[in-house]
Amino acid sequence: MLQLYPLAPSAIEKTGHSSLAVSIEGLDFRLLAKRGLYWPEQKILFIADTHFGKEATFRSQGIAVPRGSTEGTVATIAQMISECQASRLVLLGDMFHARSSISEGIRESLDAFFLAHPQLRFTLVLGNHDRGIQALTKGWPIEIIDSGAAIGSVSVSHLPQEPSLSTKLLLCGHLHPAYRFTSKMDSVGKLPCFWLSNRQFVLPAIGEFTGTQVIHPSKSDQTWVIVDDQILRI
Amino acid sequence: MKMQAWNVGRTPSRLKQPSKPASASSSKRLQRLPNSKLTNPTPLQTVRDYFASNGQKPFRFQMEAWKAYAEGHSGLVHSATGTGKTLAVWLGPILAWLKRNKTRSDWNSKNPPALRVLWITPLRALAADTENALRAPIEAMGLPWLLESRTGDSSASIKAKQLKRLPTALITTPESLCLLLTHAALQPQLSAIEGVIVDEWHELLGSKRGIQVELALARIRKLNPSLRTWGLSATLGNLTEAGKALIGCKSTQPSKIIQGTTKKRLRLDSLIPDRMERFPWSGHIGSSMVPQAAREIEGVRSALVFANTRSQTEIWYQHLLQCRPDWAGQIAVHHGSLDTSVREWVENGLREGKLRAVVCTSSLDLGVDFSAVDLVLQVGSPKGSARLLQRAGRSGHQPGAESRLIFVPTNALELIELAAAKDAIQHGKMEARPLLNKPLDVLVQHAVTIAIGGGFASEDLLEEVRTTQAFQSLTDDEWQWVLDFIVRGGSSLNAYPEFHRVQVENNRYQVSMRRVITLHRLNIGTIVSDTAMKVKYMSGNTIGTVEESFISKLKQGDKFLFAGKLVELAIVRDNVAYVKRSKGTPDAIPRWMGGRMPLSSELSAALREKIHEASDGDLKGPEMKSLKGLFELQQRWSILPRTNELLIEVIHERSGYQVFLFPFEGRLVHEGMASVLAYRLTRQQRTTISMACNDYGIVLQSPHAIPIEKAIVEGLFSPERLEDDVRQSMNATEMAKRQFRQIARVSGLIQAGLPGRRKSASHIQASSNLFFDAFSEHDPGNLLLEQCRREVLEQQLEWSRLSRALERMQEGKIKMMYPPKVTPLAFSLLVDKLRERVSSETLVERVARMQKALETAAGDEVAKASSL
Repeated sequence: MLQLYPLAPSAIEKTGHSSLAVSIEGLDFRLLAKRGLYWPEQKILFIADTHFGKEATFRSQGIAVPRGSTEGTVATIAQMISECQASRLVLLGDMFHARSSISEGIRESLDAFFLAHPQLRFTLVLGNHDRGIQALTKGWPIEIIDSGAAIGSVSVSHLPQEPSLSTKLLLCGHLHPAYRFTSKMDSVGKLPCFWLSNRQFVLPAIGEFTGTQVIHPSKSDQTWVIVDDQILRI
Repeated sequence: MKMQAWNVGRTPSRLKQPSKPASASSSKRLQRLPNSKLTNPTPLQTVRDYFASNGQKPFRFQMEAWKAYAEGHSGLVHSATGTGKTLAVWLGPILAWLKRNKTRSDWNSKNPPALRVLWITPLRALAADTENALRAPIEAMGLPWLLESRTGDSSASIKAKQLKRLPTALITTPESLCLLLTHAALQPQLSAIEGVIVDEWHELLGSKRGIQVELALARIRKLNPSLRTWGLSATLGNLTEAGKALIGCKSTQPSKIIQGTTKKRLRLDSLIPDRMERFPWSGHIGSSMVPQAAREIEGVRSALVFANTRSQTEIWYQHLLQCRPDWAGQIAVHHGSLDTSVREWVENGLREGKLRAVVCTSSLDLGVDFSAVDLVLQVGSPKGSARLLQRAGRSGHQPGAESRLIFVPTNALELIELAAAKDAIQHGKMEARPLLNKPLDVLVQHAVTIAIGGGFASEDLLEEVRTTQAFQSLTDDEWQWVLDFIVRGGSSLNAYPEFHRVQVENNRYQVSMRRVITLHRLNIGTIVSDTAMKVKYMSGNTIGTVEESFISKLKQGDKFLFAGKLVELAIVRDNVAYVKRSKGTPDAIPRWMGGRMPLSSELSAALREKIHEASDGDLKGPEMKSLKGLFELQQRWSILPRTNELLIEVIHERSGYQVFLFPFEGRLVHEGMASVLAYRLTRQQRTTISMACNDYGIVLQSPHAIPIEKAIVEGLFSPERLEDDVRQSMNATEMAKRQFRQIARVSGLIQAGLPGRRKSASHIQASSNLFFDAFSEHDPGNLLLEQCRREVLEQQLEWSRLSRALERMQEGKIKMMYPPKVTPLAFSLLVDKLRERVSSETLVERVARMQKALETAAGDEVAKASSL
């Protein structure tokens, strides 16, 4: 049976944190509940799967989705940059949802973002939704690298893959990983998560209007779920 | 009504289609018209001859319906199944045609008449059987009519041919009918429709599919204002409303409600357990009633065994087989998650009388009459008297045969439910089907359909949809929102740039974009496809579907029961679970979502009456008599509440306080009520309360004393602030998200059909949760969210019932009892633990708690293992 607790919030102990320090393969990171991974040593913020303009693509196909998701995603990224004081942003692929995603409104939001972050080094790892991206991103200071490239002692990629021998860890996206919590009495549905498996570290999708895919971690894996604005280690 | 014009002699027996004696006194006219082919008999005579050729005569209600049709009326015919409803409505249009086409020599079946009758069936699986039933009189009378079906199963070539010229009579489903409305070129043909007949209207009524039909009928009525609309329905508590919904509320046309033979002979019995004292008070028993049930099946030719859930059908099928291994191959299982091919095989077996018994769910509630079935068994509570009656009607289709149903209780208290259902049936107290009020998602879909099918002017379509029962109170603002939603995406001006679905030109709303048209046609309908995973044999044959969450818990090699067979999971690939046949014992039985119905409000009331009677020691019928011992025990420790009393039992044990309340209002109402009560109690003092409910009552448990007496005085049952308290106490957002799935699908946000089937559309697939979040965040004024809130209250929480129940409780006399032990009524609540909801916990806390519970469980396992 489930419990009904008294409604005084002060009586409830906080169980999660909005960010969490972790050490993986000897490297120190901070997991952010806003769905980013920060590497203090290099001042790099990693994010994955922004799918900018997905809602615009839907609209152009006759499916009503209000604007705002892309602006929301951009704002979340800006907040994380300012909170961590990151100097470099690495996006692990799938920057835009589709070719039709770059509408005027989306362009304006990104223009404003780049204008507000003149010092930021923005790196995009090519993903499966990013074909033909160069033509679309003209005018924005974006450095584009291929999957498998190394940044310091880690390698970055869009799709999960075996990390190269010279690096300790692979950071990747693409999966939009989520963990399904169920017990006999309760179910809270899917929760986006960070998933570390065989030196491959999969980041949750940061895009607001993006779905998730349930993963089934094995015993040796490590998983951190994002619940509202907090992170919980499983 | 007087039937002089029809020259009916005497009302035929109400029980069976009367056989026409060979030396018929009524066959004078026949003698006068010895060769109908030459002399062109009157239309009515042609029909009478047809009945006579089957050895029958028309019933009075059938003739009443034909006459009403001939006079241009619309109407609703209600009657038990298998009593001649079909011919009552089908021959009206035929007679009308015969009247105008008396000269047989002019009949030319190579040039059939244009479309004049539309027959709407709720199940496409029924179309083929319906076609056979409707074809019989056409062929016997030699009519030159072309009769065809058009459903999702029809071949592309037939559909294409029909788009050029529709047949004289078309059998179709609500979805296929709406699809026809998207073809502007069909309008001239559709406006020539003289009559529409909606079969099994009670099934469609109160659902979004029913609203679809209402809207489509309004459209056809607009094309032909003298359209006659007829419906067939089982007996319902709100037939007048049902008729109004069918015929439209602004109709100036006269309409009739015609009662057929409702009193088919009916026998309802219960299997009283051989050893009542060992029979469980509550909970679900396994196999103890199986031998008794098998004996009943043995005595008949063919039986249907209805269980309430799909898992129960699988279990009962196995039980029966274990009890009677020699029945292998003679019994089968049938439920909605089995593949169509499997179900068809079972249905054919039933039709041909080859199967001794079929264990089924409501999947066999509808549809064809299986004439070989002469007994129905109902396992567990039927939850409603109309449903019990309908199921009983599945048996005894032979002329003159009676319908026979045997109730198989799974616990003692269910026997009271059956006794109550018998009373309700006897007093004709059938459940009303609550109607939906202006679901905007369906209107959105309809407006796009009409925009594609030729376009519309705003005022015209508004006037048209307001003629339906569902949208009669549609406000101008709501209509404007629907138009904004399909043209601009929403009412907020900047929220939806580049959105295109419907265009407006010179106040004409239409769709020009090909891909919008294609997408809309693919997605017409209101049925939500569940996130089911196909189950296939390695050889590739599909056997059915299960929920993904079930498969995800299985390991390779785990065995489970499916379609009456033991299979083991081989591999999961591309959203298909491949299995192979297996031996041994199952590791799991699939559970499918949904299914558990609450006790209907009519049956709940009848149940309270029965308990009232029992409190007076008035035990009527074998069911109530068999419970004598249980009632005595209940009265010794506590009381049996009378209808104006609310029984509350308080038990204090070392482990804590338990408060049992017995409103007898059905599970959904109790769930809402339990949350509200627990919420209100926790506001009064700092404590932790957990709760459980079933169809009879609620239990609240706490480690601290629950000051229930004081709380009642201070307004625990007060209807004041009820809606606020419900919202505060339940996880409203989660419930809303679940409800939003259908709304998103109907209003065209998410695409129906199987994922992956249309790869090209995969970049515009998103889950309804994402839409819900996006609207809540960026367009909170979206009226679909408001509709969702209403639907949660009404459908998930049975809001109206809940507030009525609280009123009743506040007015009633409260009987506070402090029994020494858990009473039989209370015991049912301790056993029957049902799903519950969290109230004031945040999501984080719930996850943390679940995680802790899992760890504890795992820790226990480790401890057990190490102690070995």
